[in-house]
Amino acid sequence: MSETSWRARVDAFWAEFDDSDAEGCLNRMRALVDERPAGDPEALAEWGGVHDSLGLEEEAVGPYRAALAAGLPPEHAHQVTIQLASTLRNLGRTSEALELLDGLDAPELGDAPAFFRALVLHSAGRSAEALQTALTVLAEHLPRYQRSARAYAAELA
Amino acid sequence: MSTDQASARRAVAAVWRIESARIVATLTRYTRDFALAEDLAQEALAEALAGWPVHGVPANPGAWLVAVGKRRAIDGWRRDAARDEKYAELAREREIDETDASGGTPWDPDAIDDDVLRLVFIACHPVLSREASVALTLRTVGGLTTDEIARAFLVPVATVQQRIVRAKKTLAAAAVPFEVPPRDEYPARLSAVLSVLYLIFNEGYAAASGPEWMRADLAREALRLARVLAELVPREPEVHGLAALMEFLVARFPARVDREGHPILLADQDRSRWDRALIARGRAALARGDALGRGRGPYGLQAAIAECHDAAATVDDTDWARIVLLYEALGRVAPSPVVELNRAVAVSMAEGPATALRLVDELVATGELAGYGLLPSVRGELLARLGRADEARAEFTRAIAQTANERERAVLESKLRGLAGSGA
Repeated sequence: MSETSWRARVDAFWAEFDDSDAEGCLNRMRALVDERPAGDPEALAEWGGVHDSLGLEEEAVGPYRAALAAGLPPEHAHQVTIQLASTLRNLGRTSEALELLDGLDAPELGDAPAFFRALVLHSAGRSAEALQTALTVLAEHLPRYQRSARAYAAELA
Repeated sequence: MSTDQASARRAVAAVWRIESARIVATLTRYTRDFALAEDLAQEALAEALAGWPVHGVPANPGAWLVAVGKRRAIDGWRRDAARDEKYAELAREREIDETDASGGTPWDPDAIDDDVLRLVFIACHPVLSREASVALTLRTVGGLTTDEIARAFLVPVATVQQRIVRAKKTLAAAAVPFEVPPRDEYPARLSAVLSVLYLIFNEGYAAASGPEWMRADLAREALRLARVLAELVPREPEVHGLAALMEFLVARFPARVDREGHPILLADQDRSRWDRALIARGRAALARGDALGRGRGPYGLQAAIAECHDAAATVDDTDWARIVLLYEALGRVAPSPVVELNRAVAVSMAEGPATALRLVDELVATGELAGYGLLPSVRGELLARLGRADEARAEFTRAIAQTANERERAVLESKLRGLAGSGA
């Protein structure tokens, strides 16, 4: 079974993903994970992802963390980090989520890390910092007023 | 004949409860695959349920179950042989072991204990969610059936089955090894095991809902597992601390509910009904932990607090000053606003309600316990004792609004009615 065909079938899985049939989704993903060797980071990331997408967030955390520990390629690791941080936020584990996002340097994801950082800060009850984070990145997209927008954002927290 | 069959079935259940951990552990070592071993053990159990009522109970039932599990493993490998020559070789290699196992000495007792410990660490591995660990620990280490676990946690059987299947897949995908964790991971991994056992215990102890007897059984099961763990890792003080804590709390079970199943508060319990043997076991466990000379952790300190209650013949005889000190120590090793609230309650008994109210008001000011039902109920109690009935009434009313537990609500309502100057 070649690498591309496994990835292609995983992509196909997600294309037809239907969360109304949780057991079916889990079974199909289980079969895909079974094709890979134990400890395979890509398989772990997908195994975490299917739990996450089915609302089984508690059970997504372990596989996500195991995938990161097993060594994913950088860009995939960045995505899993964001997903894990978001999952942890939903579980109310905001300090763990912040710790992950603090260590994340993922220019290819644009403002996504800042977006999730703002969400996590808000959930942690640090709303001023959340607003500051959000407005700081938003300031860069304004056609004018950028300088004062940055300054106002900086004053928030 | 049918009574023989019934007794054979009971024998299967009894053997399974006692031996399941060893059987799964032995098969895991044999196959080097926990998920497969769990399946094989369940198949062996099914074969026992079918065979023992007809052919009788074998002389060494545990060894019989292991031998059947191994035979099924070999059958499986043979089926796969065309696909995978490596497994076929493994099967031939191990068939020799199997003849030893079914014939003479089934298990090496020392190796078995290590295997069971490895099993505990696998079931409580951090890659699993807490819920999954609880289900897996009860099934593989505790020997409970999926039905029993579902009943204890008030969830459908299918939910427990799915949880276990997914957990096994997660362990396999993460290539979790069948081993005692290395030294640098050991403290964190052991504390994960202890928190799973404590979670099981609390699910039974807190008895927020559901039939009382099943919940008490669950707490007793957690106690049994904690005792087993204390034998497996005798040099870990917190394991003894956790076992001691459970002994002290289970000791009060006979006095905890009245005939109608309503809870009786600690202060109102008939202490002559407490189980002295369990209290003695608790003391022995605490002493074993202390003898290691590494101080008490959070479980050991909570056990010591429970011991103070269990040692007192009446509420007034309770050594509240000592309990205050123990809560202070607990607050240092495991800081938490709930511990602070408990300390305040102990202070109210040792020094009176005025000092305690000051501590509680400091807690209220931090906002950390907002929405925690016990906070207004404790504050109400202190205000009532200080004769500030109107303020107490407001707190009890708030506490009633926050509790989801019917019985707790009834207790609060009776306190509300008991307040001086309460109209109608």
